[in-house]
Amino acid sequence: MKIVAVYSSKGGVGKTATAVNLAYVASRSGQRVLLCDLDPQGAASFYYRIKPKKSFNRDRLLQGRFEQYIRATDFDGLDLLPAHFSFRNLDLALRDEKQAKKRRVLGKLLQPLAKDYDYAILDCPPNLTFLSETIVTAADCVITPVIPTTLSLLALEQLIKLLKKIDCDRRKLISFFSMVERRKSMHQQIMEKYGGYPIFLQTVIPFMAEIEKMGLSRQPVGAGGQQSPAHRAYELLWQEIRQKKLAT
Amino acid sequence: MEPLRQLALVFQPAMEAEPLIEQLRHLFIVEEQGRQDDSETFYDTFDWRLYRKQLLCVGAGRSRSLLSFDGTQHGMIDDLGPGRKFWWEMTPSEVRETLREIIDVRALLPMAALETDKRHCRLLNDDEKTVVRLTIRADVPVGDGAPDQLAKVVTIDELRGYQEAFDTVHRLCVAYGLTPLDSDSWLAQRAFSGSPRTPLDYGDKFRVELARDSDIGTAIVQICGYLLREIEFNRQGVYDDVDTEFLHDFRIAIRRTRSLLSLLKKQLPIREGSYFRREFKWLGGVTGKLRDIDVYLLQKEAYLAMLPSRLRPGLDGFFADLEQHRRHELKLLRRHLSSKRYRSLLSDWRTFLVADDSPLFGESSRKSCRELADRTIRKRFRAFLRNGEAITDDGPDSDMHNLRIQGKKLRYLLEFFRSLYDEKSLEQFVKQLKKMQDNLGDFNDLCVQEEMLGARLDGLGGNGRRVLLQAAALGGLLTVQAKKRGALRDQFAATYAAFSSSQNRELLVSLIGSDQRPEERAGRQ
Ligand SMILES: Nc1ncnc2c1ncn2[C@@H]1O[C@H](COP(=O)(O)OP(=O)(O)O)[C@@H](O)[C@H]1O
Ligand SMILES: [Mg+2]
Repeated sequence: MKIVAVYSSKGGVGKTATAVNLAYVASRSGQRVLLCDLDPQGAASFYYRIKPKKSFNRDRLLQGRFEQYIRATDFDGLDLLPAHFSFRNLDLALRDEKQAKKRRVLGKLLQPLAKDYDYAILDCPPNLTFLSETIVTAADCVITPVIPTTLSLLALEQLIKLLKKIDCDRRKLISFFSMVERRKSMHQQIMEKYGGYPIFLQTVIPFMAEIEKMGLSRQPVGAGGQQSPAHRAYELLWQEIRQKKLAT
Repeated sequence: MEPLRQLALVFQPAMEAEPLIEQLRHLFIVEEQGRQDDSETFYDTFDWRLYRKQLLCVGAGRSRSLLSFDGTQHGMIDDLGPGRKFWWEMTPSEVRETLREIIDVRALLPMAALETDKRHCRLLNDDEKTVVRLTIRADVPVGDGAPDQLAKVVTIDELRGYQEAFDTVHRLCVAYGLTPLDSDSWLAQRAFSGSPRTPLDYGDKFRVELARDSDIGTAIVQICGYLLREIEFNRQGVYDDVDTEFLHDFRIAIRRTRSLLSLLKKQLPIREGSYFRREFKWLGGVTGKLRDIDVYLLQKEAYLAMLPSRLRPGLDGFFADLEQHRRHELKLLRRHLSSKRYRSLLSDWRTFLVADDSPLFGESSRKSCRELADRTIRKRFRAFLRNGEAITDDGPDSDMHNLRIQGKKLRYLLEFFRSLYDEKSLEQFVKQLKKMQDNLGDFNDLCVQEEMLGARLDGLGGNGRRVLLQAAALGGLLTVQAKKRGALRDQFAATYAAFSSSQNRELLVSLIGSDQRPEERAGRQ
C-alpha cells in the first residue's frame, strides 16, 4: 500500500478537492483505495455523504483498530475513513512517547490495512502541527496544491523547511498549480517563474465551476460523467503522479 | 479486514417483488438502477476444471466474471474480444492469473445459459448515501427439458461500515416470507438446470466401477464402453480444433482401448479382435502427427527459456514452420475423422459392445474377471521387472523405451481394474509406478524431441543469417536437452530400485495374491 498525502499548511488551496477526486480516479482504474479524512472539518466525508459512526474515539484509534470505522463509498473499490475530532489531539495522546517514535505513529496505524488497499490517500488539515510531521513521515508521496499566488508559495516553502527539520526525504514532495485562472496576470507570472522547477508537475488543475459545485452535488466530478473536463484533469494529474512518484 | 456479507433469499413461488420494495421504502430511499434483461452464459473447460474448484465463470458480451457457487464475485474481466477463450488471450489481471492456474491450456466454452431479469436497487439513507445493495433476479434456464421459471431470488450485499442497514433489510425480507437458500451452491444449481451437459460428466481421471464378481465380458463392455464414450465426446472438439486437450484425451482413450484389446487378446474372438486392433491402431496412427506438433508448440515458452535471449529469434522460423505444418496435419485428420472408415469402426465397435448376440456375452466370457486381472497384472509386473533388471548404465536407450511401454501396460491394467481391489493399497502402488513412469516418460520425451530437433538441424541448408541463427538455436536446445536426458538416466537406477523394492513387491502381492500353487505352499509348511 502506498500512502499519498495531500497536504498544505494553507487552507482553501484545493486539498480536499484533490484528495476526493484523485481517490475516485485511482479506484476507477481498478486500484483498491482508502481515502482518509484527517481533517476534523470532515469535508471529504461530506463529499462522499458519509458520517462517522458515533462510537468513534481516539483510544480505539490508537490501538490500531480503525478498520471498524471504515465505510464504503458509493463507488467500487473506494472506501473512506471518516473524519474525527480526535485526530487533532494525536500528539497529546502520544505525549509520553519519544519524538521520533511519535512521528511514525500514523504509518504504524495504517500498516494493518496494507493488504486491503493499494493506496491510502490522506486529506490533511491545513496547519503545521505535530500531526503534519506524522503525515509527511508516513507518506510515500506528499502532494501540495499551490494556487499561483505568493501566499500559497509560502506554504510550500514552509513545508520544505519542515521536511528539512525532521530530516525527511525531500524527494517525496511534489506540487502542482491548483485553481488556476489563466486570465489573472499574477497567476500567469508566477507559473512562468516557478513552473519550470522540478518540484512542479506539468499538469495543472484550472479553476472550474464544476469543482466548485461539488459542495452541492456531493460526489466526485467523475461520478457525473466520465467526459467531464474536470474529471479528465484529475485523471491526468493522477497519471503524472504515478509515473513520477509512485512507480515501483 | 472482515469479509463483507452477502445473503441470498428465495421468494415463495407466487410471491411478487413489488410489495417487498414498497416496505423497504418506509425505511430507505430505494433507487432502482434499472432492469437488466439479458442472458448469462456460464463458461467452463470441457472437463469442468472451474466447477471442480467450485467456481463459475459467467459471461455477458465482452465480460467474464469469476463467481463462487453462491454468486459471490471474485473478479472480472471486461474486455474479452469475440471468440477469445484462452487465458493468454485476456488482458493481465488477477482473474487471469487465477484462470491460468486452473484452466491451463484448455479453452473456456459455453456450458449453460440462463435468461435473467435482474432488478438492481440501491437503498439510500437520508444523506442519499448508499447503505445496502440489493438485486432481485428471476431466472429462466435455457435448454430443452429445462424448468420454465425458477423462484425469484434476492441477493443482499453488505457495504463496509453499514452493518446495521444490512441486518435491517435481512430481517425485513424474512418477515416478508422469504427463506434463506438452503444451499450455498444455488447459482450453480440454477445455471446448469437446463443445460445439456451435466456438471462433471466428463473428467480427467479414468474411473470405471466394476462389480467385484464381474465376469470378463461385462468388464470389457463396461471399460470399453466408457472409453468409447470418451472418444465420441472428444471427436467434435478435435475436429473443430477447440483446444489441444481434445486430441490428447481422444488419443489416450484410443490408446487405452488398444491396450485392453491386446492385453485381453485371448479373451476376444479372433476375427473381431484382430479387426478392432488393426482399426484402432490406424486411428492412433493418423492422430499422432498432430499431437506431436502440439507438444512442441506447447513447449514453446519452455524452449525459449532454455536459450539465452540472443539465440531466441532463431526459433521463430522453427515455430512458424510447425504452425504451417500443423494446419496441414489438421486438414488431413479432419478428413480421417469424417471418413467412412472412422464411422464404420465406431459403429462396429459400438455394436460389438452392446449387441445381444455379441461374442462378449458368450460362454468363454463368463469367467471371473478378478481372476483374469490378477493373472494379467502379475504377468505384466514380472515382465516389467525382467526388463528393468536388464537395464545397465551404458545399455541402449531402446531398453528404456521398452520398459516404459511395459510400465504403461501395467499402469492401464491397474486403472482398468482398480475397482476390484483394495483402493488404498492400489493407489499406493500406482503412485510408486507413476514415479517410475515419470522418469521413463520424461526420458522418452527428451529422446523423441532430440531426434526431431536433430533431424531439423540436419535438414537445414544454405548459409544465410537466418539459417545460421536457427542452427545456433537448435544447437542450444540440443545441448540443454542432452544434459537433462543424462540426468534422467542417472536417476533411473535409484528410481527403479525404489519401485522394485521388496516392499513394493509385497504390496502388489497383498493386492493380487501370490501365484504359488496350493501344493507348493503345502509342501513348504
Ligand atoms: N479547481 C477548482 N476550481 C474551482 N473551485 C475549486 C477548485 N478546487 C477547489 N475549489 C473550491 O475551493 C474551495 C476550497 O477548496 P478545498 O478543496 O476545500 O481546499 P482545502 O481542502 O485546501 O481547504 C472549495 O469550495 C472548493 O469547492
Ligand atoms: Mg480541506
